[in-house]
Amino acid sequence: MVKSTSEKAFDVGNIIFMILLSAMFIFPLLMIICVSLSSSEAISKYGYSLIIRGFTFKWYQYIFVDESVSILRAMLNSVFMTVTATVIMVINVSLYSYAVTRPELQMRKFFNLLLVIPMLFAGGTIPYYLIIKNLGLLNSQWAIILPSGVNAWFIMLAKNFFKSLPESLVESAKLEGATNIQVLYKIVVPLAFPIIATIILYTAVAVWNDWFQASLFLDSAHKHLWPVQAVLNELNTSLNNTGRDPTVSAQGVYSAAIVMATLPIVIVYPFLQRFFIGGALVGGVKE
Amino acid sequence: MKRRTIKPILVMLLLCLMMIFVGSCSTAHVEIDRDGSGTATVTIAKGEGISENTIRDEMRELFESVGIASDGDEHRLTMESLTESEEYYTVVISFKRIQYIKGIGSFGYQDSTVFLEDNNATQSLKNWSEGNYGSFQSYTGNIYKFEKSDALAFDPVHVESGNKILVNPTEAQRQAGASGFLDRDGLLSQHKRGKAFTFFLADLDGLQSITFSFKGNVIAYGGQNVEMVDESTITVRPVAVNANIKGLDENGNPVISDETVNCFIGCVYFQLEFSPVLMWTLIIGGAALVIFIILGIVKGWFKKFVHSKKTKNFFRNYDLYVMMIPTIVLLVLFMYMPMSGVIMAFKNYRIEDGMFGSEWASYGGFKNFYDLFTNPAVDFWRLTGNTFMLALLRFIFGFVCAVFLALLFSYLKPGRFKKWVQTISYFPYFISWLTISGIAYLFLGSDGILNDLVGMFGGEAIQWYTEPRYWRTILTFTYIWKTVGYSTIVYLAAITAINPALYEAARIDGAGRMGQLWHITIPGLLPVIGVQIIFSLGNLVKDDIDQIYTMTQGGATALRDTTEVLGMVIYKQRGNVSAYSSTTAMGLLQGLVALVLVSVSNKIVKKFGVEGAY
Repeated sequence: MVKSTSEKAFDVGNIIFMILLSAMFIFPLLMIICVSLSSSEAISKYGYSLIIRGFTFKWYQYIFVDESVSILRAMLNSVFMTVTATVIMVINVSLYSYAVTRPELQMRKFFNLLLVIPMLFAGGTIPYYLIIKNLGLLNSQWAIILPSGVNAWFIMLAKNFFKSLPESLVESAKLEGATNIQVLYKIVVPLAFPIIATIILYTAVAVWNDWFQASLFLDSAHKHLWPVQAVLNELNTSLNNTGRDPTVSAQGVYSAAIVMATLPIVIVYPFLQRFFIGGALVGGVKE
Repeated sequence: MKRRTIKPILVMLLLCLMMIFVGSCSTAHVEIDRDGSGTATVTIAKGEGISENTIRDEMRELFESVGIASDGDEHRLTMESLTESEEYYTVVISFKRIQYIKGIGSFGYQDSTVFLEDNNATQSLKNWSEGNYGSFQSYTGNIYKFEKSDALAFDPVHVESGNKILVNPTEAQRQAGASGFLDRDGLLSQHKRGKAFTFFLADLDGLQSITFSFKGNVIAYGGQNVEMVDESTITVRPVAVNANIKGLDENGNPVISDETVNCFIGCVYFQLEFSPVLMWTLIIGGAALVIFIILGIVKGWFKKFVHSKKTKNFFRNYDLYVMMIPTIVLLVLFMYMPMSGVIMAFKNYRIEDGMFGSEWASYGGFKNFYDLFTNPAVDFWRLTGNTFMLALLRFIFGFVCAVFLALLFSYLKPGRFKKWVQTISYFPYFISWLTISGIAYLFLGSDGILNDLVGMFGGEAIQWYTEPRYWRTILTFTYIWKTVGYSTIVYLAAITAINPALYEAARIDGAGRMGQLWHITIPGLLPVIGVQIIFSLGNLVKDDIDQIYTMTQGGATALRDTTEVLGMVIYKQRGNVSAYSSTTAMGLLQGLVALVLVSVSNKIVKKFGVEGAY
């Protein structure tokens, strides 16, 4: 196939555009890393750039050592919350989706409706806050973990996938005396691994990136329970505040905290790629 | 009549009170219902200058100022009727919960358990029984300060099977083990379903007596000139108390004087009677259940049920139902229970009454919604406008950019370069808005990169974080930056799914790239585009405060003109209990519109033949 000149020109232009686009996505992230490693004198003198001037670990030292921020503790909290919520989510999603797709289940319409209603309507922030309060979950990490461990959308996704599996698989296993739980975890879940992996990915990212619930339910008297995004949130709101310790650059500290909070995502990102593409297709309706 | 007043209107109000309560002999009979609301019947002896119209006018103004004093609820007192007999005018006033009426006195109406835990309440009652009434602010703004006096002290009286026993033990008795009226393990704590009612009305000259009747039997009472009439009624007569009064004269100058004023003061503790409605419901329901069970056994209904196929099936597959329990529990706790909380939007939420126990709002419960639309301080329309505008910009540009980028991606040769570009462009989707906010600050801060650029072209540095007009663009741009790569996945998949033979045929027909784009790719994309648009319709009223709050560094007030959205106000007011009802109303409206949009769009999608989301 021969390309015309204009087509060639377009292809070249397209490649150049793509390079620029990639730069647009990458440079801001690199710049944050540079700022987090630059001294405040260098920044005020030369401005933000991709070159590290006045190299320093001061801001990292600050967020790891300073008691009011302690990023390490926050990261451990985040890991705990993310892992727990994800495990609960996988258990809930697989159990419910399996049960609701079994033909011998009665009142299937009712159990489906139970899922649909929360997708259409939510009570709103204040009633939600009061219910959490009445449940005695205020200032507990479970106020974030437990609600993050259930999601009607994900159950719908998994349910549709489970439904597409051949019924004969389940039937024959049952004839050999397998219980429902055995069928689920030995046959259905391994087959549905792509969808389960997608759900794991979304849940983990959502919990890791959540500051909203954390700021609602964990007040500043319980900073030792804060996840890393809640720490970021506090730093973010005080970015423009003057009157802090003048030797500490708010920008440098915030950048270092951002790098630490985003690092885990950067590390796992290459491994998860193949799942989120499938996830975007089935979950495309959600956004 | 010597009296200081604040403003002319208050002079009138006082005149009104004087006429009702001073110019004539009057009595009041107050009936208090289970929740503290009730009716007051005021009987006013006819006299000079008292007519139906004057009473009506003055009542209206009294109600208004009491309303203002009581959290601005103008319907706290309502005049039900005004009748005239030979000697009297009789005014029937209905009131909402008496404990929230302010301006004509202070009232307390609490569950016994709550009352005993409430240090403020028990302390003021202790003070009263020692003759120390403290101070009191009337609706006129006058502050009455009462001196402590032993003559004003009273001992509470305990009523036991008709006998009245003084219960305030002396120090000696206390040491011997007698428990006091207000002790946590004392008399009141033995009556769990009791209610404690306290009242303190000052400066109502002319009112000769007030009768309170309760829904239940009085167990204990105390006060000045308080008498028990029957087992559920007490009568109070005024006591003259020396007071130091601080007020303002007509010119607004402070005036202080000492006077004797009439006060009604006391407390009642009574056992709330069992609600007759609830009692009859239980009796009838219980009887029906018993009859049903007996008939069922006799006629063999249950046998049929137990041996039915469905029941057997249920027990054979019980594990399926058990498997659903964890999810159902979490859904009920965190989704359905908050839904029931929208009832708050129709109430005046108070922390002490709780979500379901709070009073219904005025206007048949719609007061909070009415306020949203009419109260300029809420600025509901600006918030809605911002919410809608930002969502619309996100919707349009997010979608156009994603389709455009997907098309460009599709022209890249498959290979390492394409894969890298895609991988990089998806990445921002997975980082948090707080991270992006930090990145944006590098550009938008006062010494940020954008200002460097502006300076390079000789412009004046712009204070981005205080200029609301740029923020629609900033928010839209950052949203696209975060999501555009990821959003291309759906469209790319649709482009890949187009049959390659179509392109082949087009090429043979001599169609160039543009021709193929117009005649094959875009028509092939249209169904996906349509579905995506319709599915995002519901988002048009949603506000992504995850983005907006963080990007504006915690909802900066300087930027509120363009960035303050409904969700932000709700979030920021989360600590303000008195705003809970109105913010819940706000959220409910938003949720309902989203519900309508989602349902409609889902219907449309189904019409197109695509399987809907539900």
